[in-house]
Amino acid sequence: MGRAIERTPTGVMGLDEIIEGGLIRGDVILVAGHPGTGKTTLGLQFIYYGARELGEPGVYISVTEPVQRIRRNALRFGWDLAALEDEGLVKLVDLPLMDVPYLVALETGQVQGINDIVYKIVRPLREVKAKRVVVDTISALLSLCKGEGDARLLLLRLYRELMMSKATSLLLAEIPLGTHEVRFTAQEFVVDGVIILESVLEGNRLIRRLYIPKMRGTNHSLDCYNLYITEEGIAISPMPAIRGI
Amino acid sequence: MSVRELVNDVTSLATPSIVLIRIPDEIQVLDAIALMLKRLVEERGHKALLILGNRSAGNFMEGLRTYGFVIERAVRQKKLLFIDCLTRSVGGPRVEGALFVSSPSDLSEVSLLMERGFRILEAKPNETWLMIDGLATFIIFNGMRRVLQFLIYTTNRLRTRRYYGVILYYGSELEKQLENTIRQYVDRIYEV
Ligand SMILES: Nc1ncnc2c1ncn2[C@@H]1O[C@H](COP(=O)(O)OP(=O)(O)OP(=O)(O)O)[C@@H](O)[C@H]1O
Ligand SMILES: [Mg+2]
Repeated sequence: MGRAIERTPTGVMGLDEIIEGGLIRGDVILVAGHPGTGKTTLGLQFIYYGARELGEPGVYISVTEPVQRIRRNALRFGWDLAALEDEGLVKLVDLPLMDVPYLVALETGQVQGINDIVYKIVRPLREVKAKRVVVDTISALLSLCKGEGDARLLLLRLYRELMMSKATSLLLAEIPLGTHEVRFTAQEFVVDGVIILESVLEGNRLIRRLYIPKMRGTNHSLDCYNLYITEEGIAISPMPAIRGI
Repeated sequence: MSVRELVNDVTSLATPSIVLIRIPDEIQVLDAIALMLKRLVEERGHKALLILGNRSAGNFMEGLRTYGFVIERAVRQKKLLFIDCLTRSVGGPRVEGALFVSSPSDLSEVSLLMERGFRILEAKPNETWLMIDGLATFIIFNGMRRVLQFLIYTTNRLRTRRYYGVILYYGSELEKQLENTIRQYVDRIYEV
């Protein structure tokens, strides 16, 4: 018997049960999914649950959606992020990558430019002593890099910084419809764990599914589970989905 | 066996068990469930979660009321909850005291709402009952194999938690095929 590993429950009903109680504290996890499969909702739930239920400070870095929208949509699930921001437990960070300085920084292809971006993400973590971080989405960040090499460098630098911050991190990533591949630079290999959300047609109903191809240090389920977006957020079915029936 | 004898027998099972009950007609099913609920929920303070595949929760509650069962009180006291598998796909009012599955073809969602239902009821070992009525509907929407998997999954969950399970069915041709396989997973089989 080894020493007990400290776990970070995600707060997603059904998910913690299949990963030995939660993510390993300090790990960096890629949550990759088709459009509209609940990546953002899952990320918010992770931050909200940590802050509200466990008092763990969390940072949500939004690259794709303005944070006002994030706040508004979260309310649909009864998650009052503004209140947690007032308490200093949650920090929503707009990272408007379309802003010229970022673009220039990335376009130069210089290590310094990449370091600047990473710094913009990491600085807020220190401010609230974050134990949970979400980057929504890493794909958007990487897509702005000039070439594959820069993207790889950015990913590795970010991974390293997040690891050193000791916060448990979710990097949200896009999988284009009709494909099963995460875009850019084999992110799946760098991170400590990968959670896949996909949307598939079953008969004439669209269903969402979740599975876990990898989770270092964890005896996780290899089954595939239906995922539901309910009025209380994301939940996955306790009974595995059966494929091919 | 009469409905009354059945109810006496099932409600006096000493330890959490899983039983199959074959009742040939719908009125008697309502009879049996109403009498069981009166005894278990009203008299003994046990908790019951009912999965309905054949009719809506609203309709089922109407039926129960004719037996003088006070549904609102039981719901308020977290002793009774329904999982309605029809209303969302065929339409109809959403009543209090029920969770709604999007379609009877989604047994994964049924399993999810079952978990949620047990949480809402604050279910405890030795005093929680799961009742399933409507196997035929589930078979039509999912096929035999999937329903069997669902029942095996469910009976396992019930056993590990020490909850009781009651599966009612009419004994149609469809259900008979299921019966032959599922009987090895249950403790008793009753016939009315
Ligand atoms: N209150 C709600 N109840 C149920 N489902 C909802 C609710 N709000 C949104 N949804 C569903 O969730 C989906 C969006 O979820 P979310 O934004 O988390 O997905 P995403 O994977 O981040 O999407 P994107 O790829 O656009 O970033 C919507 O398309 C909708 O189907
Ligand atoms: Mg999103």
